[in-house]
Amino acid sequence: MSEYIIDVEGLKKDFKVHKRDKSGLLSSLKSLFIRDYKLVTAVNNLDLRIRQGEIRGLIGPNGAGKSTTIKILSGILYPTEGTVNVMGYTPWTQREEYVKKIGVVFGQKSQLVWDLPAIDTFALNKQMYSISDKTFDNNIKYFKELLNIGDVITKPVRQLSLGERMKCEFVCALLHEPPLVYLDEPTIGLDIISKEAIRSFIKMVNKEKGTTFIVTTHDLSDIEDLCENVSIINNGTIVFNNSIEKLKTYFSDKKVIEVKFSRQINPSLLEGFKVTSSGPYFVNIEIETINTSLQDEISKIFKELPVQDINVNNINIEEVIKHIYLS
Amino acid sequence: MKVFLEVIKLNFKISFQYKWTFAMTLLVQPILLFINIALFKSIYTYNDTSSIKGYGFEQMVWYYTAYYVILSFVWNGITNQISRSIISGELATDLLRPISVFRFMLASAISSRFVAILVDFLPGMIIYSLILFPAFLTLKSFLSFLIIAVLAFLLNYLFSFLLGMSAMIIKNNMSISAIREVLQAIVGGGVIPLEFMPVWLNRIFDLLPFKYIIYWPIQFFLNRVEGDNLGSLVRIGSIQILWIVAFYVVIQILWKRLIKKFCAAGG
Repeated sequence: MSEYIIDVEGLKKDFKVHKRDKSGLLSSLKSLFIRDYKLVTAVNNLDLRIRQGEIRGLIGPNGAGKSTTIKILSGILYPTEGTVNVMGYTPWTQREEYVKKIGVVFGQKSQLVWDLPAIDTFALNKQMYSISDKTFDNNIKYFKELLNIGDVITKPVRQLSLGERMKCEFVCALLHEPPLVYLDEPTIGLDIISKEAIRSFIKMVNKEKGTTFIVTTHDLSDIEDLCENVSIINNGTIVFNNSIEKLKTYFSDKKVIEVKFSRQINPSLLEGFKVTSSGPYFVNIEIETINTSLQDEISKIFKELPVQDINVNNINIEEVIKHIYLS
Repeated sequence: MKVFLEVIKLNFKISFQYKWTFAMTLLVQPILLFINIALFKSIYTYNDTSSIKGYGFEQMVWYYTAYYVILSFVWNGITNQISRSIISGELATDLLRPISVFRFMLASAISSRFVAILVDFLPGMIIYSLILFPAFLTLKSFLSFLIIAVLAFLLNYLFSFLLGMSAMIIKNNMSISAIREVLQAIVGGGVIPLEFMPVWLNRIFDLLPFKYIIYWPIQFFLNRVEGDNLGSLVRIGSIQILWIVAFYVVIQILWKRLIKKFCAAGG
């Protein structure tokens, strides 16, 4: 096996989408006879390599192709073009064998049997994945303690809260100790405490069992908390592929100076600065260190403005990501 | 195989959560049975005969009850289930299981029939027998019925799965399964005994699978198979097996092609 657990090259996925120009009854009647199809390329020429033991964040705007990528990687979808090698398997052709080696959690879909307690789904998985009695009992005990779900797993799934259900989904995906786990928006709709419980659980499993996690999310705090490396997908292809640190210092030649005033100021005082936002008692000033030295700018601020407090920051990560999404 | 049993066990538990849907037939069937008894009693007395088209009075009345008995052996909701899981994108989670969708759904169909036999067939047989005793039944006829019914179940499952796969192309296949149910009732002999239909029409029906799902199990149940029982058993059973093999091959080929089109909607 190569040093990469996942090796994706030139991945492409087209969807044929049925198109209807107008809403309204007439045009849907017309579409009975004449149908226009449009080819939508959800993933286009995507390359991705992920090392064993990583927690890799996969972010991107809605419709960028994250979920499609995850679905191809987990063997659900057939790609139009490209090669994928995950632990020596081609997911979609060797699906039944391959899925024994992975775990998947979809934040928006449930794998638990809706009408029964989660423990029944676990028992089914025990047979499907041929988990030994000992491993099964140990893991159930381990997860019960770690996630604090002793009572939860014996209640019918339909009676659980979203947070409780997500915890059970995680157990479901990890019971067979897969070396690789895909998490598609695992913290969607969860409160801050449940989110933290889930995150520390992911980190714990990653550390103790060396499990590789691929996480897609829209919650940047997930990424900052969990991942060392992050890949940004936009328009179906990877546009950024590096460490979180690199993302934070993406605009290394740009700084934001946050100034608080000791008294209300006249807005005309700010005319000489590049202001990103301001109020009567504060201003945020962006500078490009290639054009202006930080020292000059700060001394100018001290000279011209009634400074009470001053902070110099990198451009914040959300701004960076917004910039990458929009470019 | 262990997996298969576990899936059956699981679905058994699910079905039992909704056991009252099954038991409803137990309330309706006796009423129909009384109506049929009154109807056919007057028909047989008016014509002053003990047999119409080869059916004795008990057999004729039981024919309609037998149709529901057969259903508790062969029925499944696979066609709609596949359609629903394609429209909702739930098929994605089915595909994450290390077992084929075909086998997983087969296990779920089998377990639903176990439940139906337990809460529908067994108490039903007792209740209906108290109303009109099935004097035609012998152990031999009942055992051969069981064999034919199991094959009919498999055949019906494969047929339903094949029709269900149409959802890969047309998404909502409610119309297809509605047509199938009507055809199955008429062509399969669920509405009236096929002996009442012209011979040439029966020749055509012989070439369709419906008779082997409904009509023949009813015939074996009513102990109406002419001549050598074992010979007929082998003959009908072989035709059922032929259909089963044919459907299975077509499903395997089509599934491989169609699953590529699946686009896992949502999320």
